Amino acid sequence: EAEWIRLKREKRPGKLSPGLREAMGLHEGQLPPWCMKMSKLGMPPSYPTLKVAGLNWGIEHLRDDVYGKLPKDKKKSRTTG
Amino acid sequence: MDNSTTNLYVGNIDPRVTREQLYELFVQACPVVSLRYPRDKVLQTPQGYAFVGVPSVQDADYAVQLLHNCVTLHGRPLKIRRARP
Repeated sequence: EAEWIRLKREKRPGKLSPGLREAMGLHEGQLPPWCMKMSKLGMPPSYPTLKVAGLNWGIEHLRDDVYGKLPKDKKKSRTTG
Repeated sequence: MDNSTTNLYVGNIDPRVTREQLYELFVQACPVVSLRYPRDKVLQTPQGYAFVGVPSVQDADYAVQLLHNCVTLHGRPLKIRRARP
């Protein structure tokens, strides 16, 4: 379905839209609340290479709607099951 | 043969939260393979809960540990647990 394809393309780990930030009460320059937990739990099992600003990536990358980044991996992501 | 899509139950969702925002939030923890966010048939308002399908039990457990009682949307902390099969 078209909406789903668009979501999969546009919504990526490490990026939060202004609308979601506002709903969370997350101000500019603030890390999302789960980032500290990531330092305890480790990176998500499906995103072992995820970079998060302030954890394993320079804090200077924290800006606008970006707090992290999933480097493009070679193998297909397994979202289609 | 990892064909074990696992469902998460998400509760205490403020009605202003959109389906798109739920997808966006959960994709931070793991890939999202399905999302059910029921609305009231008459009023068309969301009913305050959702089911998020994720690729594996490991993803589900991680998402619960990461996001349960951690994310507050419009002042309401999201409650997340594995859905009963």
